[in-house]
Amino acid sequence: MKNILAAQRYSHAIIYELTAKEINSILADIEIMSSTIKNESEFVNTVNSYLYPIDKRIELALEVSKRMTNKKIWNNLFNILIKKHRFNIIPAILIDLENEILASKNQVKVELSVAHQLPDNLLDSISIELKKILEKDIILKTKIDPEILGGFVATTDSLIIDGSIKNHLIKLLKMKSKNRK
Amino acid sequence: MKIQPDEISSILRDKIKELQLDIDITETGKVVQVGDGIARVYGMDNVMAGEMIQFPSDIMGMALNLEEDNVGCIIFGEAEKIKEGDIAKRTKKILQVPVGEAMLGRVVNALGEPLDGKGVIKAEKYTPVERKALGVIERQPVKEPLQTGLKAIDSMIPIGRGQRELIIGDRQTGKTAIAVDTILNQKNTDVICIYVAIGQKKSSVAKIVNILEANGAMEYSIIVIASAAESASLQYLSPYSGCAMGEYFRDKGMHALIIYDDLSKHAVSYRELSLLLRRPPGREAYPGDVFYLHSRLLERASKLNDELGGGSLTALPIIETQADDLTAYIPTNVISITDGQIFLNSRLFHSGIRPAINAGLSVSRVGGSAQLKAMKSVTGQLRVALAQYAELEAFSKFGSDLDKATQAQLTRGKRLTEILKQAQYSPLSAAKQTFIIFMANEGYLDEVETEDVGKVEEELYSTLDSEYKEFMDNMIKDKLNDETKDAMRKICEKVLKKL
Repeated sequence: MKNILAAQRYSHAIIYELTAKEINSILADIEIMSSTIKNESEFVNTVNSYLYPIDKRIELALEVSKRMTNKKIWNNLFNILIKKHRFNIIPAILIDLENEILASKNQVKVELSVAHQLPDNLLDSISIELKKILEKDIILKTKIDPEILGGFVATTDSLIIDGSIKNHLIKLLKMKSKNRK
Repeated sequence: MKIQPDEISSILRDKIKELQLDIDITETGKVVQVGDGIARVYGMDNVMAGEMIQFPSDIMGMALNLEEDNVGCIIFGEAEKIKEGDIAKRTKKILQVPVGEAMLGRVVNALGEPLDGKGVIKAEKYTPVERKALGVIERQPVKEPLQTGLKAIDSMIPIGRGQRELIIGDRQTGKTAIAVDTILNQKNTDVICIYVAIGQKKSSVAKIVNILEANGAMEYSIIVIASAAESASLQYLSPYSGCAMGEYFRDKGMHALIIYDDLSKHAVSYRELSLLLRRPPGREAYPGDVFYLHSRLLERASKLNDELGGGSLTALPIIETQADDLTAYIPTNVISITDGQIFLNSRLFHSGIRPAINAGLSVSRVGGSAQLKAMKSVTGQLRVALAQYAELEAFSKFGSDLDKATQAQLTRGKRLTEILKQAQYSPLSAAKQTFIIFMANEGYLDEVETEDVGKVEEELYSTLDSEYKEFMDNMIKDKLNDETKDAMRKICEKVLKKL
């Protein structure tokens, strides 16, 4: 609970400091940071751990920021988080920051789960439909999930748009058991 | 005719082509904190207060606190299965429970799910647990009596259909006994009974269910249980669920009686929830809206006007006091909401007066107009006579010589107190109640020893049952006229002669 709220405060502070130019480049920085966290599973724990000297931890974090465009902002953020022993909230900050920036551009990130690889024209028509529903430009990320059997499931940070066959079968099953009652 | 496999697959292919799949759009949030039957959900910006929230494993919850950055939900079910980071979904529905005739004879939990092992309930419909009470136009004044079968209540504190009469008293003073007797007395009437057990021991509720079953009362009753073992959220919800079940019958033009046993524990469960939801505590740590908690529940009890079918929902809430203190927070709240109270006194209970009703502190504000005329014509002076007796009895303890009139008043008072005693689970018909009170009023019992009053009563009832059934049926229909009174006097003399 506290983590999400704290992450919100940090991301708001970063956005407040950003210039229009930096807003565009920060998304790429977020991508770098997110992939680092994803690939190096121990990175966050190590940087947040009291087992290692603080200067070493800061050094380690700054190694990552070297690859980023807005070094000054990230260096500052990492310093504060490590000193406050709150580096564990960095994933939440990244998610919130990305959502905030996309929202300011009237964009939304959508994870689209499909049962098997769909042809491009079908994906395009799905994304057009999703754009109509969400009333925002969408950044589509496709995922193959055979469990949904067919159709699609689109997930944003606050919505689930479920047009999967699995969902329909579950609904049919529920309806059948209700009728049996 | 044989169908080839090719044909089947082509039919299936066509059907799949024609298939129109709907898209479900669900607003979601993320569980950020869970514990003590409460979950805090981040997101779900458009959630409604009181909306059902679906957690993983089909666990349901209800949104109670809509805060700036999160939603506080109470969880109905196994909160242990919910983890931090789980997705919570909006349902856009207010919590509903099954209602209808299928619920009769069943023991259910606060969500209307069966607990009695008698299989699934084929409910006709589902209605929201929280509903706004009916307005003034839809109602009419209470005019029909709801007989409890207890002499002390039906004579002095009559209850009308659609009334809200509080039963209040310390622990072990017979509050539940009055409620159970009232349910038993509704046998062969058109009243449906709903008993809501809030925060009680399961063994106590099982005992009540057994009594009702043994007396054939389950067929017109519904038992809603949120025992002490259930979560505070289910205890909080149970009276509203029971009320929704009662409203179904009321709205159909039928009569229903609902007993909330008890609202003190209901207030405690709501306090627990409120404190966990971090609502600011007020007096005795109850939240600020604890009055509204009970007023919105009890306001749903009503007598509908004739255009709406004339149905009624009578509520008998129970409140447990500490050391006979009526001035505590919850008792005063509920006293002010209800249309009267039956105050049970532990001192009277231990001195053998059962039901231990304190006639001085008990009152029925609207039931008088619903009382049977025959009963009304014999009970007019009963309360006054008992009050005078209570006062004189205190004086007589000083041991001073008493004049004849005072002694007569004391004798009459003693007999009246004696006839108002009644054994548990033995409700009486209104006619018998009227008769015995008439007998005492007319002074027929003055000559009988106090300890023999019970015998006279028994003899009277057996005589009436065996010889005067028709007379009794007619007697109760209207006000007692001189002719009826003469006939009653003759029966009284006959009974006394027998003894």
